[in-house]
Amino acid sequence: MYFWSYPRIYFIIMDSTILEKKLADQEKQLQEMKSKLEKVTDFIENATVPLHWINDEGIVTWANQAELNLLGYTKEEYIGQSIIQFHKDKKGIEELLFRLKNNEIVNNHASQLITKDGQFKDVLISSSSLFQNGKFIHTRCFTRDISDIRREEEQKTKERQNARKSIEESEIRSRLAIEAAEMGAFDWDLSNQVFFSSQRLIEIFGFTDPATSHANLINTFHPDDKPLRDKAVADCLSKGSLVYEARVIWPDKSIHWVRVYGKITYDEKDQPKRMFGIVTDITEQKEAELILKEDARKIRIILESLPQMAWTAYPNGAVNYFSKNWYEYTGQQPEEELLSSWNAVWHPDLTSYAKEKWAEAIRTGMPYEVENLAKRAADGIYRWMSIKAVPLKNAEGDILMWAGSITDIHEQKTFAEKLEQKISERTKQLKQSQMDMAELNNVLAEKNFELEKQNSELTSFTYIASHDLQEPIRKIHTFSQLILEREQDQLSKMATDYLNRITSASIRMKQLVEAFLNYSRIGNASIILEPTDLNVILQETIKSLAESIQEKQAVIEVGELPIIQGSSIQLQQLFINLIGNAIKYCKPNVCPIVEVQAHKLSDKEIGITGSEATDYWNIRIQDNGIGFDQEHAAKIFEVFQRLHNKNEYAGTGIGLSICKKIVLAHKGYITATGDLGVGSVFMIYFPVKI
Amino acid sequence: MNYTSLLLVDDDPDDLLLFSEALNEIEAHVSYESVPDGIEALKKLTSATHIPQLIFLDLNMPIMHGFECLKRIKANELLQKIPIIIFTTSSSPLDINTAKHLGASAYLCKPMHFNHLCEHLKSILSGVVELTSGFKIIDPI
Repeated sequence: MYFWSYPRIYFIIMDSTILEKKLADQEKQLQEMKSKLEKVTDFIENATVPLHWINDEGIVTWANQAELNLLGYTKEEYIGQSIIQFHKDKKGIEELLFRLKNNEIVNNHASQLITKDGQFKDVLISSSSLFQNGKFIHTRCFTRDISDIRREEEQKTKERQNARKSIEESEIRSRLAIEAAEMGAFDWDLSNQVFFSSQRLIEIFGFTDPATSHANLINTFHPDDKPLRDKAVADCLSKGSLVYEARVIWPDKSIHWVRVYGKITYDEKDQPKRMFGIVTDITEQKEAELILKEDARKIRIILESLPQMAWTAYPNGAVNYFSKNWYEYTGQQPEEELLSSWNAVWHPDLTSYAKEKWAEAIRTGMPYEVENLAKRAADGIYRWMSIKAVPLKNAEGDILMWAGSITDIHEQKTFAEKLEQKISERTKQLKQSQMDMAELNNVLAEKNFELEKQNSELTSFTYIASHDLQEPIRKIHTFSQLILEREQDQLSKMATDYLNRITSASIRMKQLVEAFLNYSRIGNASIILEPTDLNVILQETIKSLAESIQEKQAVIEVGELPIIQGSSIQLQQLFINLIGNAIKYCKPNVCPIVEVQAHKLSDKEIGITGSEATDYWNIRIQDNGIGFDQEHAAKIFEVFQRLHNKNEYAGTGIGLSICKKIVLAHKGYITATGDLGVGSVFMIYFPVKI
Repeated sequence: MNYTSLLLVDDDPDDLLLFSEALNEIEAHVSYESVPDGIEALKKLTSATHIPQLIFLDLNMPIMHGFECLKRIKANELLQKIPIIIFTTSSSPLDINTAKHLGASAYLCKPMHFNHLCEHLKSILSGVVELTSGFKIIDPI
């Protein structure tokens, strides 16, 4: 505060208005100064820059709000306190105060303040001292909070350190990689031509001495490859990188292949500064490549010589060669792109399948085989081809290439097709004739059935007819008889005679009908075959024929007869007829002798073929009767066939037919042998097993 | 036993005549009736106050076959016991068997000779031929 004394009053008798005006002016000035003071005070108090005063004892005598805010203290906590306690470096601040007291100006003294919550704040203190009359009043301190700046600086430093570390690490990694790959590395300073190379690189060039010079290395390049190398290096300067493969000749004269990579770095003026690079020994790969190329060449020579079309493909399945024959057949031009050349030739229908199969073959490494149609250039016709390919593998089993062939199988395929067609035709024909056969069989079976039906109808017809015929016959006979009996006396001789004839005719008719009935009965029902003892049958027969045996004084000699499968009723009938005949057809005045013998014979002995049985019982009935002419041997078995008229010997002419029918029903055979005037022999054959 | 009442079931008029002639011939003292078919026979049998002691039954008859008639008679409780003689032309073993199977008492083939018929009737009516125990095939003479 400035006090200024009131100027001496020498205008006492002045005009009051002038006095008033002066007062007013002074009042106004006072107000202005007050206002200015307020503004300045406000400015200082509320400035965002921390300000404070410190007296000679180091006590804070005043601080503005910014200072308080910086440290987080209230006025009471800060003002009146020793400044030292608020600094970390207490000694430093004491020193500072000392200097300030000596009227030194402090600019940007770095220090760390302790905030209310115990944190350290990096600050810069600038201070100047106020002296009055040579006395130190206080320092005017101005604090600059640089904690943010400090932090940024620390951050930047850390980043720089990290960056440096990662560069170091990647350097190490590259080095390791290069070492692991057994690659040699080099670093060529283009400005001073200083060439650094790793030990490995030296070795790749065939040397061992680490001090081997750049020139020495370059000299190892094969004379044929040197130009290539030189050009690559020259180009690199403009391109920025190089890569080449070349041969080097080692000191021991062995040839090795190297691959060199190089990269240029530029200076600030964009001039080439250094070349970094790596070198790899690729001798092994190169040699393998050459072998492969040589193999491929040899294979191609062989493929060219084949009559088929041939092709080769890379391991990935892409075709890389066709033989001459392919171009000839397909009409494709050698200059055309191989894949499109391939695709243009095949029939679209089968191609997607073929492609699938090829993809599978590539994937599995298994041999490839499909059939497809290829268009022939000469006539535009599609012909069947068999396309095959096999993989060529190295010792490790990796596929190096595919070798394929295309074989024209058109003839075989169409032939096979034609054959198949023919076969199916034949099969159809066969089926047809089988069906026809079946049809015929059916027809046959039908006809058979009809025939059987007819037969059975016939048989039953015969049966019924015979049966029904018996009625009237009986009546004729009976009534004729009755007349004869009852009207005996009334009848004339002629009438009697005629009636007698009628009677005997009716008897004869009855016999015929009965015989016929018998005959038909044999075909009618299916006979039940049981074991039948022929000895018993014969005894019964003899009993039945007792009357005529007695009458004719016949002798029946019967040997041991077998038991056969048969119907006793029918067999009875059979023997009654045969032995009855033998007795009936005896020589006059000669006692009939009938012999019945049995023998077992094989079918071969008898002369029977095609029968189911192999052995037969032969029953032989021999008589000493009148015999017959062998000429009629077959006839006598026919129905109603008689060799004599009824006056000579009675008979129906059915007896032997019945015998034949019975024998046939027993699956046997009957034959007759006659010797006129000597006798007859009837042979019956019964199968031993039916 | 002596049979005194008969029933003849036959459609053939000649046979009917011969039958009665035979009865006369043997002087059988029987009352006999005849019907021409099975239907009539059953009618008579089921309605008659007087049931015959013996039935002669032909086979080949119109409308109803003899066997059908036989079956029906045998099925009737009241008529079951009457002995039935099958009197037919047929000598078929099949018919004979069927007759036996259906319960006929005897089987007689109509003979060729008139006097054979007389003989048969005599022996039947006088009871010589046993009709109540089992089935008999009356032998041709």
